[in-house]
Amino acid sequence: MTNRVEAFLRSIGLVKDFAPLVYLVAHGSSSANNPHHSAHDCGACSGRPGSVNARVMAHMANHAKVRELLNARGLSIPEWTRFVGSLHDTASDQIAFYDEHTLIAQHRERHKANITIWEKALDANAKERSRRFASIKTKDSLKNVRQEILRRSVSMFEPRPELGHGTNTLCIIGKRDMTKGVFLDRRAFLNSYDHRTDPDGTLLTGVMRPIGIVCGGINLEYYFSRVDNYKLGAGTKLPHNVMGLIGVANSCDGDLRPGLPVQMIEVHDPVRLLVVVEHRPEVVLKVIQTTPEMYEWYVNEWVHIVAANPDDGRFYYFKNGEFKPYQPLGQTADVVSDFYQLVEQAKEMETNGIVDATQENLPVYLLS
Amino acid sequence: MEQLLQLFILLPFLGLLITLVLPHKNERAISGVVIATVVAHLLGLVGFVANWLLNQSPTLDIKHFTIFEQDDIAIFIDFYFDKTTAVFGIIGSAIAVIVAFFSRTYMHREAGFKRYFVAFLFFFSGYNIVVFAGNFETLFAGWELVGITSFLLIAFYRDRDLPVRNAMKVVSIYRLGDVALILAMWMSHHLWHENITFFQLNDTAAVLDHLTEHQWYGVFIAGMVVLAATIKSAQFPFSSWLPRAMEGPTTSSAIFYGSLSVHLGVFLLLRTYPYWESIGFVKALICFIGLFTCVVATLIARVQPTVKTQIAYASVAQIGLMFIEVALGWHVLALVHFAGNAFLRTYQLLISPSVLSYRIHDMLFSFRPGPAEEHGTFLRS
Repeated sequence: MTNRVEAFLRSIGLVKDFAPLVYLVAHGSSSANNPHHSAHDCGACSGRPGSVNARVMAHMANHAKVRELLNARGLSIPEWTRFVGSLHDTASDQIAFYDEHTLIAQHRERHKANITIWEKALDANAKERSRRFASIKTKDSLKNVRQEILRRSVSMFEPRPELGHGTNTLCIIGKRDMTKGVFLDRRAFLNSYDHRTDPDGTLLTGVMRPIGIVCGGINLEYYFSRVDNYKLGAGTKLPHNVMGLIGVANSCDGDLRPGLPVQMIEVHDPVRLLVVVEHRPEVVLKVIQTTPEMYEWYVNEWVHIVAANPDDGRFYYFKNGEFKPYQPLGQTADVVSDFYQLVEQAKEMETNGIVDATQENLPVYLLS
Repeated sequence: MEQLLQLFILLPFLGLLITLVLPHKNERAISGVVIATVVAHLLGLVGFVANWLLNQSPTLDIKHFTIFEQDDIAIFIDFYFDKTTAVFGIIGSAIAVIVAFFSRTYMHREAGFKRYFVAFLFFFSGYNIVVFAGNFETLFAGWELVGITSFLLIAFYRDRDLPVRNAMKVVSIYRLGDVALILAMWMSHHLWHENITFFQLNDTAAVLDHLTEHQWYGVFIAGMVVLAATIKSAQFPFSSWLPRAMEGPTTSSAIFYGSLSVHLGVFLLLRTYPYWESIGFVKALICFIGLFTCVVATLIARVQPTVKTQIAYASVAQIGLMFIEVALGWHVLALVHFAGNAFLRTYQLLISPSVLSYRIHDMLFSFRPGPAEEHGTFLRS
């Protein structure tokens, strides 16, 4: 148990300055009457919600014996820090907390206060998501939009309970300060990693090992389902017929339909993933060349990779086996003060046709 | 009261005409008109039946305009109302309301949204014509409409090869039934020397008279009617079209092959019952077909790999039982059975994608490890 907790905390760089309550949030998705519901759940958990993992990890990190052993290894978690496992239901935008009864009184107060913050964040999340749903009026009040989103996740007739990883484009591995205050339109995978605790990149190897498979894999899944939905994707999910509990086919005959249905990928822009790593380029190069399985993602250009050098603040783009300096086209981004207004004013999709869905992506903004 | 019967045919057609002129991007308007039509139809029909029951449920028959008349041939539109019509009508409207509400969200942003709802209303009109028909000619007109719209909705995904091919198979088998119905009409005219209405068939003495004189005509007509009913209700040996009919969106599969369209064979037998009830051979034939279908379809349903075809075959097995009930004269039981089967199959087909949820996804939350669980084969439970 100690090994797991240590690896986890060191890889995200959480080795000091612990807050009194640390939330471990897993993700799951609830939908009704949807043969593709596990496409929205956690793929690493074989199409199930990650709730069990969050709860187990919280239990391990709270364990007295584990903390003792971690202390001996140089990672000291203070007495008053408790880990709380939780589950974020990404379709209904709700959050559930596990083992709240194990919290002591002061923590319970703090936890209650935190729940208000969580709810506020979920309101904003629901509003941002509602922009992509043609059947929800984004301009409605926060409460109504949240209610509509919740209804979607339990509606038997809804073929689009959530859009999952649709529009995914970026994978940013670095300190969260790097992306603080940047509006990325929900298109980025965000990995926490602190280069200052890891100057030679040993922890970075562990962090980057699943990047190609998980993030790159997800991106390619959406990419291929988008560019050829008939052959590589699953077509529209309306005639899908569950075949033997192992797959879906259109009606009683024909092939099993792997890939994603139209309803999941119609908002997706088929671009390859751009991985941004906050470390020196020579270290990143060494890391991605650790195993051939990792390296083939980058050298065969399935995903792009850029090293954001913290030393000189410049970008180095990986091409033909080496990192070369890269000059971005734009030097500044627009500043936006009202987030909700930004979301509401995005241009509405003009037709129901699939090709027009990608013409309304918002560019990157800075939130003031 | 008879004058009101035509409204139940005209209302869906009116909804259809309005829907045809709406722009296809305006999903709200299209679904709004369709839902308004079917809800108005249901409420009107319920009110009408309530009124009808209070008046001691007379059998209504009204002859509308004549299309063609010469010598002893008269092709005219005739509407009829009795308990069979009441049951089939109300259940048809109720299921249409359910499916219309379901489809409004389900078909959102689908290419062919308007086409779907137009075909749906077209089907609904045809179904009502069949149910309210007072003679073979009117019934046949509705029968044709139901067949054509079945084809349109099975081949809804007309860009792909398989839906269109399967739709052609279905409509070819349907045509066989249509031809049988035309032959029955032709021979029936031969027998009666006029175009008979179902109301006239209620006069059992006259029917018996005619049949004892011209026995072989009678058997031929009854045989053709049974053939048409067998084909429409996917009884053996004509069940092969039913699994192929699941190519359309789930909602259309539900409304056609779960509930309404597939029970029209039973309806046809109920309507023509006064005609063949005295012919023992025909009754035995219907019972045999029903029993055979019931047994074979149940066995087939047990080995189906997909959930929708499993439900379809189970539905066919029930209809086999309904055939037996109709042949034995237990008509009220047959109507109750129809109501139950129609609603059950509609429900099952509409939530058929949830089978993954019930059998696998929810297992995570209800899994209890047994005492000696080595392989954890959760499918065992």
